[in-house]
Amino acid sequence: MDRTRNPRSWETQGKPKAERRYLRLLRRPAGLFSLAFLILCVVCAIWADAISPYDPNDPGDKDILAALQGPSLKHPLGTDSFGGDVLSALIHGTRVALIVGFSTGLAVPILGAILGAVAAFFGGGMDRFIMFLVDVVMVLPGLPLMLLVATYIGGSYWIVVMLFTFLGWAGVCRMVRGRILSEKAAPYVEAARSYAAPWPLILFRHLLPSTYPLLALTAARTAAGSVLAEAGLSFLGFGDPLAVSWGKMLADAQAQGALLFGAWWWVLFPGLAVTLLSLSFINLGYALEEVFNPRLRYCAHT
Amino acid sequence: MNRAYFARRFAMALLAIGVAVVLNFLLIHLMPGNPAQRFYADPRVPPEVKEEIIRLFGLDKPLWSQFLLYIRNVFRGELGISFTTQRPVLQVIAERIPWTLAITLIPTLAAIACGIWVGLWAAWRRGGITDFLLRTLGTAASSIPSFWLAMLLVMVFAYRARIFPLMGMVKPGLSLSERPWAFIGSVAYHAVLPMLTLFVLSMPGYALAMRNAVISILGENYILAAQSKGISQRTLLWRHVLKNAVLPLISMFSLSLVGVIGGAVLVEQVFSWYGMGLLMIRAAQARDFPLVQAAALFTIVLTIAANFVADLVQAWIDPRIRYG
Repeated sequence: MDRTRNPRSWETQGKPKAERRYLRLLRRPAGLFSLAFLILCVVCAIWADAISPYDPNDPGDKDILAALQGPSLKHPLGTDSFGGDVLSALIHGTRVALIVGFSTGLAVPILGAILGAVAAFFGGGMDRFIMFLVDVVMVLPGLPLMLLVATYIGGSYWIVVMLFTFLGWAGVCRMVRGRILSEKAAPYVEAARSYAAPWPLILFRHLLPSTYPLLALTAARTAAGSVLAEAGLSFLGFGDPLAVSWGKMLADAQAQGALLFGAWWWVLFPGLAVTLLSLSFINLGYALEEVFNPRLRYCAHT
Repeated sequence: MNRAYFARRFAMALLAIGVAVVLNFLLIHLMPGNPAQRFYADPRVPPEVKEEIIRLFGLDKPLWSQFLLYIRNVFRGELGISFTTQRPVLQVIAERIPWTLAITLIPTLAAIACGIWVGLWAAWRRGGITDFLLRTLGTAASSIPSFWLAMLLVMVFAYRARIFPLMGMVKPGLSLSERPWAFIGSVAYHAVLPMLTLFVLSMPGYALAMRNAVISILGENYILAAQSKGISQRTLLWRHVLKNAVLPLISMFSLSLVGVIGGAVLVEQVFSWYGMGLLMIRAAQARDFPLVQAAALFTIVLTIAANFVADLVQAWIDPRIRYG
């Protein structure tokens, strides 16, 4: 593409159309695959009961005589030690993973962006107070806190959402504040000020959009991290005892000695699902960052 | 060293510890019911014993005086008696720390050393095969759950190939006092798979950070100046690139200290490696509140302290931070 060679050439051709911008997401194989996997997960989560061949929540659907069987036509991904279908549990497990991923992926950047924008835009005492909170929250470690809260409150995947939001906003806030502070001094903002543009216009039209690439990336990273954390917490036995989740499947596999029986399918697939979902979120983050940040698109980047 | 910078960092560290201590206290009291309920959950316990327990633990006092009592005890290092083992919690924790450090510190240091070389190589041969592999596997490694990788390694190396033990820390029957070398050897043998898990997962992160730092430094003017002086590539990399590129790794290391001290909880669970992490899990499962609280507090305080020290080290090495 000659555009990559001459970074100025696109300026004369006008702004690329919106739909072309979003199609770029699909140009890289990793981005395409990630989007496909995420859509598959969403479909599985919504229509889990219709898609899955068995019901993991129904004890009557487990055939104890068919326990620990390898992949077959009847059970495409094998069975666990109770005779439950691994594929069905995997499909139902998408619900918890997606709920956790999407809620933290939304809550953390939004909270961080609001506080960061307030700190940078209004400055003064408000800025000092918010940055003080950031400094304190930044050094609190997540896992011990998560275990502590889980001990008292009891198992629930909302603990992951809560603590990720409580600890995650600080990093976003710091980034957004830095970005807005540097953007505030840009000539075009000065120009907007000079014709007495109202402050909400400057903030929402000029300053905040400059943080979108950063926010998209953090949203994706947070979502990926929280999916991993939820799996970990469930693996330790502090997940929701009633919900089917990938972490809990692995916990059961470990506790029931799947490793001793060589039941590789019981271990391999849930972990693969966690890895792929987390990876999809991250890849999607990179793609979204490109969508929002034209500079990354038109320069040959590394 | 700049005194204002030091004072600010120190105040932040103290405040964060304060927040952790207060949270620790509030968490129990925000819960419905009485913390001592555990002792008289049995309906056969007579009411006067209940009252005696409540009085003994000071639970009849107002919340603020309980809080002062708690603070006083924390400062004295009295963090309570573990419900399950009936021993002081600090003693229980101290016994577990060496085990955790053994399997976390070695792979972390190895990962940093390895990451520096891989990252340097990938940046030097940018776009080459090492670079490509690093960027692909580096992203993947950050998405792999550690406990899952641990389980896969157990399956391949312990179950199929039978090279390494399935779990545990030492061959039963060995003791440190009788046959120290056999004991240490057995521990090292059991530690291979946990350490391998942690190494494989943390190395690409360090390498990627190193690669990005080196690439941005190679574009600096002083590198061009050094090159135009005609110095050898070796000197260039050693003296001009490496020194500056290692800086971000120091802050990464301080962030990873959470894992080093808090224990690789998940990996310890898979291998039944009885360190800090497994101690915390077992305490939490048994509702051994004093032990969970102390272990969490201990981890948090150590992490904050380590971060503080890392900040100072970084400021000491990099004058731009001190005066920035």
